[in-house]
Amino acid sequence: MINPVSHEEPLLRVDNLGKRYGTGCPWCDVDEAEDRHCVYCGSVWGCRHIDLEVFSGEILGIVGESGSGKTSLLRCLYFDELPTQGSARLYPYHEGTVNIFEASSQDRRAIRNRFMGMVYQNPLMGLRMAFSSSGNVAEKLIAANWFHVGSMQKRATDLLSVMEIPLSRIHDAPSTFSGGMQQRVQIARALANHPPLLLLDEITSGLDLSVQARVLDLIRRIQREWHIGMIVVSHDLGVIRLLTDRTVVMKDGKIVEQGLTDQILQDPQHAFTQMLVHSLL
Amino acid sequence: MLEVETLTKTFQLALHQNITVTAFNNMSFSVEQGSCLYISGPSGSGKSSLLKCIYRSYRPTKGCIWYQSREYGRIDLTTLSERWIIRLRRQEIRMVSQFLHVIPRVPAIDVVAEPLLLLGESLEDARMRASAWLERLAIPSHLWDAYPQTFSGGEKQRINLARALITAPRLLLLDEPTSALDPHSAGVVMEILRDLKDRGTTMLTIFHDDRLALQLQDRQLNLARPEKTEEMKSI
Repeated sequence: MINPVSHEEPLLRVDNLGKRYGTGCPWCDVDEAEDRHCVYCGSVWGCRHIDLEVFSGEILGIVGESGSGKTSLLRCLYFDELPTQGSARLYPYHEGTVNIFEASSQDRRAIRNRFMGMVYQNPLMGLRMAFSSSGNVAEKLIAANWFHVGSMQKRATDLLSVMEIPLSRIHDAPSTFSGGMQQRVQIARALANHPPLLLLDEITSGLDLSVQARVLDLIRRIQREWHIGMIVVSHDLGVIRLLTDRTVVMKDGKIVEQGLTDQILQDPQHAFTQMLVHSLL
Repeated sequence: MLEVETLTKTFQLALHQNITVTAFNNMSFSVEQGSCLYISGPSGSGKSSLLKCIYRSYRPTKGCIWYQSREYGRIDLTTLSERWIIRLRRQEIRMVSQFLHVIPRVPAIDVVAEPLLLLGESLEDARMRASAWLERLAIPSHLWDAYPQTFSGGEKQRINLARALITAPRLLLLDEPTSALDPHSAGVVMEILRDLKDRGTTMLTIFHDDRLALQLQDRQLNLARPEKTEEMKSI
């Protein structure tokens, strides 16, 4: 199942992905319907008609206002939710020939543990607060069939040191850490199995400015040194400008514009993107 | 090396009754390898917009920009996919603007070294070459480990230059690279640019001071009269 990642093939290709919350009815599927809320059955499209590609070694930004569907998209990709429609192909999984949403539950677990890492906005969702920090990393390793305790300890210690967690604290529970430290433990946990794809959901919101800078620098370093693909979801255009190569703009669950990040910020084409960019402090 | 054919750039301002603003219209010119084109004109004539279209920070509205790439042959930058543009920016084309946008609390030496790390160089080698460029651009060594946010405008501008020059680009787009520099620092920068040009780097430049441009340019493009390319007389 594991294959080397080609630099020319997209690491991740998403086609026509959609997530509807609610039972749905024939009217929900009418493509022309601009409103994401169905007046007949009350269903809501979290995101729909999402097409995008991510390559190894690049960071793709996703921006949009609150409720635009950014997190729904990430949650679908990480199997936290099952999409209503569409497909996603991950190159390391059968060289991108199989839709990961059609994989067996066993394969999905394997994809989640080996090929993807997720860092949630809220560390409570990504960490087990009662475990130690090294235990949090080790849990991911066990899920990927690591057995040797010494190797796991070494791996956890190495990763937590890269994330600048003091060695004296790696046996402490994340509940005793500051918000910035919890985010860094989450990143260490997400990277435990050296996944080719990392998903980051609003990782700097709620952090003070000095901690934000440290986390951003870490992300850039990981991108350079590990050459992995990343999707960074943020409503902060400053974070997107500093971190990403390409950016996708979402509104009402759909992509309204995508392009090079500096082009999106300096020459926005869509009215919504122009409004977003002109609101930048 | 670079052929611009009937290039047009307009902006559609959706938030202001969809009015259309034209930056420049039907512009055509070419630049030979190893030469320097000085783009002049009054404020608002589209000088920076032209450079940004070539760098693809702006999306050209109409026309072609043919670039002779070392690796990929003759390609039209206006239709090239974003992924290829990113690749070209890392390997061959760099733009130096007046502003420095970098992650806060990263030392100046690492800010300069970063483009080399993205090309796969080791941290040690990248830092060594970064320190050589910082020295060449007369950034005092005690500032190399400091954060560029705390630097003066002129120092930030030189960090920006070092970041662009460290990868030895084939095509260099310079948007007022000396605007915040004192005469001595501007002289140092001009000497470096002359040296790069002698070694074959192609340049498109915008300068706030005509006298600086004269030190470097082979030809001048005056955007007040975009249809005509004039040979500049030497003083």
